[in-house]
Amino acid sequence: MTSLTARKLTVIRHDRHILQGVSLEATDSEFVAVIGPNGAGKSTLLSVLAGLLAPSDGLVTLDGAPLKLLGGTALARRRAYLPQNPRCEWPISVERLVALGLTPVLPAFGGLSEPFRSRVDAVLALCDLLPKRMQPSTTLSGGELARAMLARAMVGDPDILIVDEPTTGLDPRHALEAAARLRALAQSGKLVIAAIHDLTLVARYSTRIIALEAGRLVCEGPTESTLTSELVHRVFDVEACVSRTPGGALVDYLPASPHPNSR
Amino acid sequence: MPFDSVLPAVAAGAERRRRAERRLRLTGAGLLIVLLIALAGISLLCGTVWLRPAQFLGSEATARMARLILLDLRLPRLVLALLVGGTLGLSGAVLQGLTRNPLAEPGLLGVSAGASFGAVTSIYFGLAGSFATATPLLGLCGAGIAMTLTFALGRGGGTLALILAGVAVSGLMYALTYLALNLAPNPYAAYEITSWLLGSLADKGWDQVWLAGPFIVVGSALMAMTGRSLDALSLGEAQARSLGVNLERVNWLALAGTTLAVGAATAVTGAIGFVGLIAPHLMRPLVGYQPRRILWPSTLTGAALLLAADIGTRLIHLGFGPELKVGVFTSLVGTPFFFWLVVRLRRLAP
Repeated sequence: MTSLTARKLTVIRHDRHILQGVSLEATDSEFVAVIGPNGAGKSTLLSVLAGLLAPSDGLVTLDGAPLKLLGGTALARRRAYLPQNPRCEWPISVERLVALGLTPVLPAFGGLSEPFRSRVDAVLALCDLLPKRMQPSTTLSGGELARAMLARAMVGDPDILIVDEPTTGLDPRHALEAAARLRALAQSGKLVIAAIHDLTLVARYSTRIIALEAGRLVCEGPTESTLTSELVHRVFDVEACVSRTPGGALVDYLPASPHPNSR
Repeated sequence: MPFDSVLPAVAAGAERRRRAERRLRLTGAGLLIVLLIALAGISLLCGTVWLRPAQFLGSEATARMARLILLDLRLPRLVLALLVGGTLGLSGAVLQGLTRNPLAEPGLLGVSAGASFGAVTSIYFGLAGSFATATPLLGLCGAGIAMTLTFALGRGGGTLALILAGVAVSGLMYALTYLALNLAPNPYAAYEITSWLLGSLADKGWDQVWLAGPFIVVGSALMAMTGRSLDALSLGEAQARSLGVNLERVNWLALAGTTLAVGAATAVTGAIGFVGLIAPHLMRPLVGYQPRRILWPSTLTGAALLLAADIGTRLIHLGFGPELKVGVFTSLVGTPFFFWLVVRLRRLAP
């Protein structure tokens, strides 16, 4: 049982309110999508929830214990975090990149022992990376790198996965795959929290949405009932059409108040 | 997650490859050590007076003379070359991993410049004449001051702020050093300052080894503790922090380690460039680019490089003038390598 709770989070930077009184609660087996326009505070919220940024005010608790009281390593064993456009700075192989996800459980010196090695193998297989395992990670394509980073986050078997824009920059097939993988993780009992811009992916794969606007939480609830045309209109200031078809939900949008001459 | 349902074939293939890799690694380490031993042997025997093993078995007087040269001149010089070269190589590897910048080197944080300034101050005021260890001691103080300044300035601003602070502190320390040179009381002091700045392993005895050795060992131990964190840092600072890496601690270990080790080394030998820059680059492709795995190979390579350079200065006599300074030698040999690095970066850039 995992439960991540945020109470009245406020983040002030350079006299600007990045987040204002955001409260939420998320539990295991949920795929929470954080949506909102650029600059709404999504990345900041994810950093705070991941325990990487201390809020100016408010509290995040994991199973009732405040995050800041957990040590960095103890927290790292329970949650994985992927920032926007994660990359690797050295051309190390995919296999070793994925193994870096084990950092919090490894001793300070020495190599990988047998159980850890088979864990790396298993995650590589799960993410279809076995043929690429020896390839330098700097030569991977965008989709492959995204898969490798997800494998890096999964290899430590964390209870919570916090991912900032996992589908940005991916082609449609890889974006769908990435979202489906996150959904599968949630179904296997993890708590997944991700900021996602592609609302169709949000509608199809997430179980719950949190909508942010100018640092405030404007709406939250189960995706099915909460992600509506009205909400999208309100949050993103566009005319939206949310259609739920048997093939999967679709979200499409048009400019809100088109200029008379633009048509 | 189905962690236990790994295809046995995959595991077996990976295991085979790992064993081959380990064999390769051990062979590489073995070759490096053999090279080091060979260089050490040459270093003990070569010089103005060439020693031959037969001399130790000759008449009483020759044997005593040979032993004297070996134990009091060659051996401390060898030990110092190994310590200084090794710590320069290690520090280069740690700093390049920490900053994820292939051009980082021990001089980057202002430590070498600080040590130079401290040592030059001692020469300037003639303290070196009153007691022998004044120059290295003041050099160490200079390194400490430079590192404190760098750390205070660059604190909490991430790696980039740290590098910029290092550049600023280096600039200040060099300016003060040149000021001392400018105001040197007499030509002899100016000459002494300049020749110290060139960096040399010549005429160093056990005193210098005992003075610098402990600092180099402790500093190197601190630097060696950063391995796992350096690996995580190759994913960037955000991911490294999310993996439980304490960035403040890593910065501190790398900086304090570099100050103690490289500060002490520079205080004794003068500034020796390029060894710390080159050693990690030579080893990086051989260990799969992983920062932690570069540390020890780079240490051994640094030691071998400096030892080879020191032998070079003794073998290459231009036929006139004094012995070549080892700092000049490494710079002459190292600069073409730097050019190559720039050309390669330019080719890799889009």
